[in-house]
Amino acid sequence: MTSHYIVDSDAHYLESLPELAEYIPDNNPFKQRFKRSPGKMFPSSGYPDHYMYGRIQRDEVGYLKGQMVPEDIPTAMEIVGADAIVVITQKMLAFARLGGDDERPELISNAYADYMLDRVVDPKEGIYALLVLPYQDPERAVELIDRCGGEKGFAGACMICGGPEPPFGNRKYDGIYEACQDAKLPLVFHAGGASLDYFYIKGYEKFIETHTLGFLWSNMSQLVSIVIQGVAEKFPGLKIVFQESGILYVPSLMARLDAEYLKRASEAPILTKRPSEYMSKFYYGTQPLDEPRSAEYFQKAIEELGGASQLLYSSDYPHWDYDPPSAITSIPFLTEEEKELILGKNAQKVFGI
Amino acid sequence: MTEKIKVCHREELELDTRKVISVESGKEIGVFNVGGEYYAVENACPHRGGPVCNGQIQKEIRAEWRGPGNRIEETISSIPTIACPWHGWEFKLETGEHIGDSQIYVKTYEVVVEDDNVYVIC
Repeated sequence: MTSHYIVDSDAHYLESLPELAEYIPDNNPFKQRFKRSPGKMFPSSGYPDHYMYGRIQRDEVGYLKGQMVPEDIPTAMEIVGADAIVVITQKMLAFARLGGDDERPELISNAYADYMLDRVVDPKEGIYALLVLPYQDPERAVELIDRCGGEKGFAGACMICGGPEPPFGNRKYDGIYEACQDAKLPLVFHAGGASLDYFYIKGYEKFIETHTLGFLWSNMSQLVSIVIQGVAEKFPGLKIVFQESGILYVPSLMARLDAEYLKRASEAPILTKRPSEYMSKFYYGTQPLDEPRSAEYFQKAIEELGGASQLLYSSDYPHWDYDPPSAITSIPFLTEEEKELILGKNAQKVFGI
Repeated sequence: MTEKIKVCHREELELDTRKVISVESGKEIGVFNVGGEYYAVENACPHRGGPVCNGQIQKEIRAEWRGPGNRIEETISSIPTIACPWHGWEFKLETGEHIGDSQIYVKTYEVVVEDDNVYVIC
């Protein structure tokens, strides 16, 4: 426990699918499908056991029993020591892999928005959620932003990474970016667990391998697309956040993109500055915080990605690799002011909390 | 202290041709006649020292965007550039600026034509 004001900018809530089904219109066949076969509504997010067959435990909340209840969130906040929390529903992390059923993403996103507003979010208690957008159908995503983006309980909107086709730099998504910019809704790109199976299917044998690669691939692939296709140039007022791939991939990707850009600038004429300069204005969730061997390297890397002003403390609780605030407070080179920024002030500014 | 160095007779530098000359300091300078305009740049790419003056000349590609949902339209401007053949670093012939980062540039020189001879001032 610390004396800082702490905003946990990314935690998760494992919802009850039958309860969620109540928020689907009565005459829609998906309502029955949800109730009768809830396990078939979302793809799996990985074969191996994230919790290493009992080694990692999360008994404080109902997560590992298969369902959390709204009352678990204050418990999670107490465990993490958070004064405010921004949650994404667990099942929506597989959202990027919803392929067939044209209607399903839109239907689920809307049901979730209503469910979270009705049952979970409570701004007075510091409990916020993200509006997960059905980016597969951008027009419907904009309608959802128009319908719910002004709700105080939604701290921002969210696009789940994990292999959207086409990737998020495509003009197909412009309407979403414009709507978020106009509504002053920060847009969180969240790595998707659904990308893990790809590596597993391809022959990687252990979760340690697929998890390392999958989350990086999720975010790096979308960062590249967004930066090179000029999303930040086209929508300069849009606040962009990337969550859940640690932070050290950012300066590496900056350097690689800059090297590519200097060689191939004619392929990105929309850009008016180096890719790294756009990326240093984005925000990055800290979890799962990297564990570099050298503090000097870590310090330089944070400076390179834009400094403490661009980092948002995230716990990812109750997931297996969650970070308590001590992941930040124990960083030896950060000043007290920088810790305050990362632990809460940056998130308060970005999310308007 | 500047020096005026003769490159060649004007007729030897025909339209859309180039000459690369060595100067006393050991440097090489490329002198170009692009569409009737003369340019001169040092034949050393600031990236890895490649022979930038041997590279392809083209016009800078510009982007135009007409708002959300529209494709970024790429058009060819009137600004001549040269690309280093080693890695593609591309510079505006007029100013020497890298097209992606104006903090990076290849050195440029003034070209003058006097008495039907082409000179570089360096």
